[in-house]
Amino acid sequence: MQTELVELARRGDREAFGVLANGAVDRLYGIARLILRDTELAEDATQDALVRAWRDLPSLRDVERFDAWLYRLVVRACADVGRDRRRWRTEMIVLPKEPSEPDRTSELADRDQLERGLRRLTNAQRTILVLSFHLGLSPSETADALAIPVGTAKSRLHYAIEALRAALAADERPSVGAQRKDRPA
Amino acid sequence: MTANHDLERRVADYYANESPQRAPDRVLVDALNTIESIPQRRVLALVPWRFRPMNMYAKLAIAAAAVVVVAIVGYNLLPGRGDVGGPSPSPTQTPVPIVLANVGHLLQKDTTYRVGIPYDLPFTIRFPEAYQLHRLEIGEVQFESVTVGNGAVTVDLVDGVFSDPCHTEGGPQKAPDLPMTVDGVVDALTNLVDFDAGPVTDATIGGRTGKAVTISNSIDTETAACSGGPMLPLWTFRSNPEGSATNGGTTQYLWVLDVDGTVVIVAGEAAQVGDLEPVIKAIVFE
Repeated sequence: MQTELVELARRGDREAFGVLANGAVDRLYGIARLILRDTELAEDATQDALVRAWRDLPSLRDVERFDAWLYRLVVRACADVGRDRRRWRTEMIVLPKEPSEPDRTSELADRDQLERGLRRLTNAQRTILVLSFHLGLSPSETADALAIPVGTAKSRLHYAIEALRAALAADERPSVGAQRKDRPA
Repeated sequence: MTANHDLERRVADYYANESPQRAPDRVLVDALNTIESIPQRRVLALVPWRFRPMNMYAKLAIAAAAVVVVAIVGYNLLPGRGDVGGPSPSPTQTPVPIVLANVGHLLQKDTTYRVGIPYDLPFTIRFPEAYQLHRLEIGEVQFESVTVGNGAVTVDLVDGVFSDPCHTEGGPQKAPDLPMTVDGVVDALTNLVDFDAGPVTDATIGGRTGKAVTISNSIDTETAACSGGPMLPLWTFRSNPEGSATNGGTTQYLWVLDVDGTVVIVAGEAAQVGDLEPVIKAIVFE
């Protein structure tokens, strides 16, 4: 059924594309939100991905790979939106976290800590984690979605995990930035 | 390694416990409203042709056509048939009009067709074998060979050329202040970023003069991070500002003509330029 809709949409059938978009929009938005950690930017990226999907659909060679192709588009849209955000957010200062005693027994605290750790990663690092652990894509599927070799996908995943580990460790330490901030000029 | 797996499991659990997110309605509504005014990017041809998926009906049609061809050739080879290798059958005298309803349909070999409304610059064309009418609009008509490897021919009423189809930020870049002349268009096409151009030669098609040039690219669109997506737009044409695009790693045989002041690009993609020449040479603008 989806294959037929993709074929129709490839030939310019907007109604067929509307059905496909309706079926994919929540999934794409969920991915974009996890990568960008920002609902408004996720909306922009999702819209951008859908518009690109319509525009470039005639170039899709294998209609069976429509979903993987959509993932690639939303990942690319997230990169573009994230790049724009970086331009106007470079002036922002990340406030140091108040030192506190971590509640290691609390699931909520653990989740909060992970949330903070993920926020410290780059969009590219979060992207590989989302594709691997949220969508459950295999290394070869992840490589396909990111248009990179499988080996590169594996190494990016490895470095993303390492970066997250470092971010979590940093989160547990008192912020060095806070001390430096109070230092007289 | 265990620590890695623990962290991976934590991340997986974190994502698994994320409640499914429903996109606000405006996301879909705005996207669908936007595409109402956005034409799809035209694909000059998808390559490699041999990988193009074929459905069962197409396979049966080609098999049936092959049987017919074998039967005709066999008949012609029977003793007493003296016209083998002689002049080919004369083309149909009265051109058969091509209309929108023909899109997606087969065009017969050795039949002269006339491309007219909605196309803005009528011409006649003839094919040495069965072709399919792939697209027909104001500024573009495209034909594809049904024989694997023999390619496609596109005739575009060009109104702009891109300068950098794979620009890495802000989408493909258009050539600014392009003079809409044969020389201007050829100059832009031979200077496409990351494209190689062969020598420019004089060309005449159907009595209209212009230039011929071959351009090719070795861009790997899978890794090149082209900001406009995986297609490489080359030029725009009347009725489609998104323009005609090609894939990475392709070669285009181009003839740029002046037809009564309109710049026309006849573009071919095929395994060999020789496959296209019988079609190109049969084009006659009115």
